[in-house]
Amino acid sequence: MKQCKKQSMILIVFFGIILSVFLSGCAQKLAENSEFTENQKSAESIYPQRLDWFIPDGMRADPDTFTIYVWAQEGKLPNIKRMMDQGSYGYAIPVYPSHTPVNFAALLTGTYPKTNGVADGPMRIEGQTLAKPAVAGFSSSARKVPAIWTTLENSGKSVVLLSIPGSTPPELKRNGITIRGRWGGWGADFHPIIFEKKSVDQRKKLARNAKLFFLGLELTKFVDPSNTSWTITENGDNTITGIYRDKGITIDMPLYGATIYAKMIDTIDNEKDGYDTVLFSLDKKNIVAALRQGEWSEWYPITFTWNNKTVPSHVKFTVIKIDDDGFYRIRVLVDTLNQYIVEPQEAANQLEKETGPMVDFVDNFPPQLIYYPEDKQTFMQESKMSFEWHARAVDAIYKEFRPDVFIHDIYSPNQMLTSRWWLGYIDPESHRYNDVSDAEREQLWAETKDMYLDLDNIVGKMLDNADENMLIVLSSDHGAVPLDRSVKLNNLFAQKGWINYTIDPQTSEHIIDWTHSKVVFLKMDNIYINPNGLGPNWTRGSGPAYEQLRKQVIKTLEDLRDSDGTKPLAAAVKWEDVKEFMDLPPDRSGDLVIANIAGYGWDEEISPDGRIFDSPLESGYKQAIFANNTKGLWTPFIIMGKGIKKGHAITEPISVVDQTPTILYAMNQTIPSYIEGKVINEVFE
Amino acid sequence: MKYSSNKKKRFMSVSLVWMGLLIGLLLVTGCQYLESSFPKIVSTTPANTVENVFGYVFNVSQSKFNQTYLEYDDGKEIITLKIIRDVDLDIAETISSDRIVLFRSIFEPKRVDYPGQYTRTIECPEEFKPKYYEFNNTTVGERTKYFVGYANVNKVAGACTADLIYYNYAYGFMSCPQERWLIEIEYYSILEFNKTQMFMKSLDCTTLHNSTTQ
Repeated sequence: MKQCKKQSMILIVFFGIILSVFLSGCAQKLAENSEFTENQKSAESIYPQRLDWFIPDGMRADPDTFTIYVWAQEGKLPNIKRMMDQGSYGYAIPVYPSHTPVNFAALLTGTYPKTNGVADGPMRIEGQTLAKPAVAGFSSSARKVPAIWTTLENSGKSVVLLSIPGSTPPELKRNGITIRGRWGGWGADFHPIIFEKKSVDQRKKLARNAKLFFLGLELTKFVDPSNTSWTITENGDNTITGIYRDKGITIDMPLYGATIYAKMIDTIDNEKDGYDTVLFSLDKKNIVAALRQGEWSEWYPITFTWNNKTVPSHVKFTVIKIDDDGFYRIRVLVDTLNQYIVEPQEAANQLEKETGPMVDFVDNFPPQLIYYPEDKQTFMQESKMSFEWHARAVDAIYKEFRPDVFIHDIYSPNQMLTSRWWLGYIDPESHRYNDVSDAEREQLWAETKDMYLDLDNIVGKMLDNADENMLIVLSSDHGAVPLDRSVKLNNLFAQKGWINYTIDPQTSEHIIDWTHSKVVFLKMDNIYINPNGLGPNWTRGSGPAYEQLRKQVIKTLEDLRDSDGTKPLAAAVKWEDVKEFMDLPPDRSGDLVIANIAGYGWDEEISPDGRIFDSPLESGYKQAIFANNTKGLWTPFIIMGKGIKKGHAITEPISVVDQTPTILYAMNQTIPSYIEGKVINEVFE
Repeated sequence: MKYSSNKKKRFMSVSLVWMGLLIGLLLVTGCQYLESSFPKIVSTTPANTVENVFGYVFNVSQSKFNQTYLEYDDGKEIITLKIIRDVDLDIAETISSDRIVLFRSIFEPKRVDYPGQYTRTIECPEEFKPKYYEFNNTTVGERTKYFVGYANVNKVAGACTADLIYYNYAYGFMSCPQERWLIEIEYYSILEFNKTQMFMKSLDCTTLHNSTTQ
């Protein structure tokens, strides 16, 4: 009996030793993993250790018109309602100028442009030519202070950034994944292209506001039908059903080193002689799709070339418009995810395996889907695809990478609200508000709210993937307000004799003679002034002549009135005062920084008609407007997680710069000394 | 009794063997399960140090992709050497060529983010573009190719105006055919402390190999 006990003891001790070895072995493996150790810590921590911050671009939320919290309470945005119930919510006000690159930099650093250096998208610098901007505000290289992801990565957290402006070239080094920072000037940044039939009428129609020659060729290519031989045969893979007329119209669509072939045919299901179907092929042998107007194909693999590199990708087609007279407008959607736009490169395939080809956002900037009534349907279909992709991406990111920190964006809300089709007709502040019937407006509201439901669906995915250690934040960079009138300031300055230009006989473009020009407006809100000329390189003027001219420019802007007597200028601030009055960096500002009132937007164009005020096709805008008193530019701010008050409505609108310090505080992280925003104390329990 | 005792001993031995097998299985499958649920790209092992490699004391850590990181930061110089192991020359060439194309893309002329009639393209001025260097280190095929330029305060290449420049920056690769290694090199130094070329030329595969495999 005694011996039996002894043997049992030996067994227990032995088992204990083995178990210890096992546990220590596994513990070592666990310790090797930062995420698990973070989770382990977090189990004991009263602070959230993980973060999911969703920053949809241009998600307007205000107390009067885009009342998203009311919509949520009414059950129309169920996941945002969940966040409200479980967290604190309110409004956030963008910094000036209230557009994307500036406000993403402000959001993600907790600083104003005067500190982070991002005062605009394209920025000019003294000593360099005004003909080309020197600094790109969407690039991480433009920023003078670290973003929140650097702070979090340095504290040992793994980070994934998806479609975040200002995140490329990648800053995350070893413990992070950077996926497609928008327009960061890094990698193979492919975008969709429209192919449209060349015609003099179309050129004239589009060239007015579309500025055909500098953007059309990029985002819309005008192509004549080609003489490429492509005979449809009735056998093999190259078949279509039904009877049709092939009149030999073939369209070659060159795209990033590949060519897609299209052929217009007339399927004979009516008496009309014309075209109603477009066939697509990648090799002129096999038809991959036969589409009528409004139809989309599947995704097809294709190989692009970028800087002599072979880039496997995917394309998808739609026929936006086809006419009996042979007119065509075809959109080729391109998979915007590839191994040359992701760091580390391996992550691209890992993600795409789960999500399928990426539709990052709808349309582009400047917008292309605004010229034909049929564009609206294409816009809505493509927008839906982008939301679906981003919803899938949330699941995929957590499944594949399981980061401590996930910060993501989708640009489609901005695209919708600044497009031609919606905001001008649903916001009562718009001059176009009464251009549609109540029933039509109701339909436009339904479409707009459907986009918010798509956003809500992404929030639902975030909540599904969250645990109790996750801090979840929903915010945005800016809203959007109606754009009624564009103001072509360079027409005004040309009339004053301050701009000298020639007209290119080939393109009819107005070419500025920088050396012999004294005043020019350049994007988004800068006026450059020098009585001695603005070129070849721009130098900051000084002295009595400079002051005199600057005074004249200010007076000219102060006196400027629209036909109904409205003054579009909200403020003209001298460069030496922009730091104090606008929180902008003087060295990245023109001689004057000008803000406009809501309803107006500055425009660079010098047009043949010389008109200063014009009505643009786009019906939404956000750039050079002071946001404090323009509620349409406000955005949501919702935060939930451990330590955050539940069901709490934040009493006053916060600033976008307050969000990073509040998040860091919530996660018990050290707040870097350069941060200028404040912690929103009232959200904490 | 004796018989019974032997029987018990045999029972104990068999039990121990089975238990050992079972625990071995647990060790393999249990930990593999935990490991497979980890992020697949991002984690690394804790660091130790190696001394006097090219005159620096490096922190050394290991990533899950069989990559070794050597890191050094004294405030004046910041160095990361990433050793990618088990790569033949052609694979090394593909990897470095891909990375170099991505690096070059930062400095290519491109359409601006918010185009306007007079705001169309953006390009890094020539004086801020990095310069490319390439040399063979030894007769055994070691080759170093790299760019020397500038980085901003966040250690990102593409500082194309004077106010953005914070570091001298070198980025490149050294291929080590004998070791079947590819070394990705990032070297930053504050502007007053420019020993970039000296550092790049001091690198060699043998020293690195000997230091990190001891």
